[in-house]
Amino acid sequence: MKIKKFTIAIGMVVCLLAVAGGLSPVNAGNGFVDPEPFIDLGGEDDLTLEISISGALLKMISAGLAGADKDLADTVAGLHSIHAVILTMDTEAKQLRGQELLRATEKRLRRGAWDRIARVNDDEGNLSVWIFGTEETVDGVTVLIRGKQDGELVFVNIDGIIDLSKLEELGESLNLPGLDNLKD
Amino acid sequence: MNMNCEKAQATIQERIDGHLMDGRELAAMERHLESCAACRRFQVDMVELHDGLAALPELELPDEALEEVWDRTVRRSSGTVPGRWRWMAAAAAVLTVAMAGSWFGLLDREPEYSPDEIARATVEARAALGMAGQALQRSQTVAMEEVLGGQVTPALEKITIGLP
Repeated sequence: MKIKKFTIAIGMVVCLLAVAGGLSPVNAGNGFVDPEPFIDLGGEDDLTLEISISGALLKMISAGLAGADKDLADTVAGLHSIHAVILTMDTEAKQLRGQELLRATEKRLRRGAWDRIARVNDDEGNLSVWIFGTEETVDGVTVLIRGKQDGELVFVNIDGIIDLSKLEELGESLNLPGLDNLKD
Repeated sequence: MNMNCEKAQATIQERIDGHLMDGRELAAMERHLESCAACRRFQVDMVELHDGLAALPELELPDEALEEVWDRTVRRSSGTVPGRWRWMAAAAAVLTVAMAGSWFGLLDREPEYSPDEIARATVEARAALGMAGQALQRSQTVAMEEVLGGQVTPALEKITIGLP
């Protein structure tokens, strides 16, 4: 009977692990940073924008853009997921929690062997850009922004192989048609 | 023998399930079908459903899981398995089925998206990538301004070049 109990226990552990594995983000790569803490912090009141795109949808975007915008199509094709969260926090207490979350996230990134390639701290706020990858490729980019005056908190995570110069070009040409609609 | 819709539909289901049928009952059902469009539609739907279910892949349960289901049901009354372990065995069986489903890709089927959803996601992807690109650009602009303003010294200037 002891052996039977042992077999059942082992079976359950294996099943739990397998099911847990099946429920984890299917397409998560090494450059994935969980956006949930930011979404949770914002709740319904302070969440201005939430973007979460991964897997099949990214492939469809890439295929759809192939004729119209090859650069963007190529960039998207190499990605596992894109997440962005913008929070607008109107009270000092909330802003303080946001600041703590940013600090905790930076700590987590540093422990996860991410490199901070840029940091700006001026009157407008703090901005830091983090990358994860090898000498040959960048496998993930994370951007953290805290606006000092408007209480805005921005988290962007791009998981997948990405060319930073192309990313910069996308920023240059950023005229966000329809972005205002997304906030509705 | 006349047949109403309720009886006809029960007979249709029995026939699709492969039950042995009485000839007179079958004849009555056929007569009913000739005059009842709703039951004809029902029969078509049932056949489609049956064929669809038959086309699904069969999942083979591991022997352990079958044994646990056996323990939980048939051997239950014998009292040989303590209650705590019965529940754990049931949980193991359920988890095993879930795991088998996951392995066969039943839980990870790729969802379908409408053109509107793809268009919206394209705008979102462009926005998120653009935000990251702008942050990258801004950090470089600030760094450049600081260098030009003399607030920081580029690393290159610190290198002593052995010029004559």
